[in-house]
Amino acid sequence: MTTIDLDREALFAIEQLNKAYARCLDEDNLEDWPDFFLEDSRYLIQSRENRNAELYGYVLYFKNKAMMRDRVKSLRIANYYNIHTDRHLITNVDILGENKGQYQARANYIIIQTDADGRSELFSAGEYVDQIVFVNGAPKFKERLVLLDTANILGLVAVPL
Amino acid sequence: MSGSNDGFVNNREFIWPAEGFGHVPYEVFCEQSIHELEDERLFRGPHWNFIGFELEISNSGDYTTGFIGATPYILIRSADGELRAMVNRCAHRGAEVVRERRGNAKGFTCIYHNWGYDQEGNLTRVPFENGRSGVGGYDADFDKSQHRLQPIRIATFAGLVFGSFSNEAPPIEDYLGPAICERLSTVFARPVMITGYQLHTIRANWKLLYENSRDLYHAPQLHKFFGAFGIVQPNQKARAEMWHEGTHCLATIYEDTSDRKKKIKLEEPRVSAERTALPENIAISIIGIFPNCLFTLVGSAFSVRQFRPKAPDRFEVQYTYFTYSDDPACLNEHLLQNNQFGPAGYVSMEDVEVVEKLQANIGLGADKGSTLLAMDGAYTTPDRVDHMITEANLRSMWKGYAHFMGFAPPEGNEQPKSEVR
Repeated sequence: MTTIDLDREALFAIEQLNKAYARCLDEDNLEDWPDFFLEDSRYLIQSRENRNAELYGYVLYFKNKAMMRDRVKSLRIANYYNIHTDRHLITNVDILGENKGQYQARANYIIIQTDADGRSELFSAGEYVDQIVFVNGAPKFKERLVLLDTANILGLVAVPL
Repeated sequence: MSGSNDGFVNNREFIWPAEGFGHVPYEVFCEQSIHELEDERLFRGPHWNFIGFELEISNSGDYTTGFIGATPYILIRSADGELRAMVNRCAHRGAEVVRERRGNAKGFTCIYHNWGYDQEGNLTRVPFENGRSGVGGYDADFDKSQHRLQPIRIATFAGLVFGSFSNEAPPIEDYLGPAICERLSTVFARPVMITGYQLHTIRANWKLLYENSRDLYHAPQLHKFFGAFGIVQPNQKARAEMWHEGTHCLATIYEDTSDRKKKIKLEEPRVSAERTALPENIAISIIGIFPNCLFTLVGSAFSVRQFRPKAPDRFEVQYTYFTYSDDPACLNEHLLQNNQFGPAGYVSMEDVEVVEKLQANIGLGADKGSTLLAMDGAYTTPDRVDHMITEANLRSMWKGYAHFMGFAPPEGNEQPKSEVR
């Protein structure tokens, strides 16, 4: 019973993590985004096709939290990109396994993007493939791989998915 | 002069504006008839299109697919070791014969009526060719050899495969020209590996991005990532060499050895091409090979983009990423530096934003305008420029474009002495 309860607790915490992650990006609080990750962590965007072919082909390849902070800094001070809002819908959150306190989790996501004229469209669909550890009871990403179903990217990806 | 024009747009002759190639009419980015004419005269015309790397199809039966303009192709290594290319369109009804992006096959079978083809595209199997039990079947003079997959001419250079629908396309070395041949030979003197693929849809005319890739004037203005993190300064030594009537462009930017005044540092500076795998202090080399491809070689971030126009205001880009395979350090640098390019790149996202918004902004209302390319001499169309503060290499491109499209040149006003208005 204890194991089941712990897993339920972990699943609830990971669901909360995903909700907070979605809200952070949807509300454009980019500065908070790196803090969902450990210092020694990875954030990757990759098409399912490259993954299946055991290729790299990353749309973004951040191998530590410093690169995530760099991204936010650059978006804020240097880059021009489409004026838009994102709406993340994250569902089917699951824990697939656990090893020495590191959880293998996954979720479905879709992102609806709305442009400056209020036109909304499906921007990206795919799967989050996560490695999560708990630090002082709070779940943090050791790795988040955004596995794209929408491998034919429409326009550009500026803010994180 | 207009008598030589055989380009028709909306049932009228299309004549380049008298102001010259420093003016590009919005129509060439918006008109359906021009889009269709481009497929005929550029992508299916006397030009070579990049269609893959030899190393992608190193074994017998390996194949890859894609588009030359609007036409789907298959590129395969057949059992005799030869490369073959053919149109991916069944001779029967036009269905897609190969549905996978890449793979290995002894032959191909169209799923619609199970017509079968060998690796060379010969039709080898037609179900019920002679009917059954005395009914059906093709006429006695039905000749399978007359119904093969349409072959595509092939040429290779430095491990790159090019395809053409025209017998008029010149030998590949002549087509690429000496400067691009030399650069490609140098870059591909070392063995490379494919590191991945990426598809990208951009809601703009394909020529806006093709033009943008050689636009040295815009780089430090639009791409603030460079300036903010002290990567490229506008006084950096640069060169653009044109070929094929100005439509190819070999752009080269050399490493700046002077002090870089970095106001802000990246926490992970290896993203910004601190280390280049290119020879001769070349920091950036962008090779536009008209009409369908762009090689982007920056530091260790290497890619080739194939352009696939889908409509006047929409095209797809297929990225193929590659790096050197003889030095394991290259892969790590390559993955880090590739964050600058592609649909999410630090220095490529703005190009997408600009061309998409520009396309949406020009339209085809009653107010028909044109873009202005007057920087660095309003009328010159040189074969070479040696600095970044120029649009001359863009004018050269449009001159070649108009030539290959069969558009009449500006009437007697190509390089007038008068000031640009």
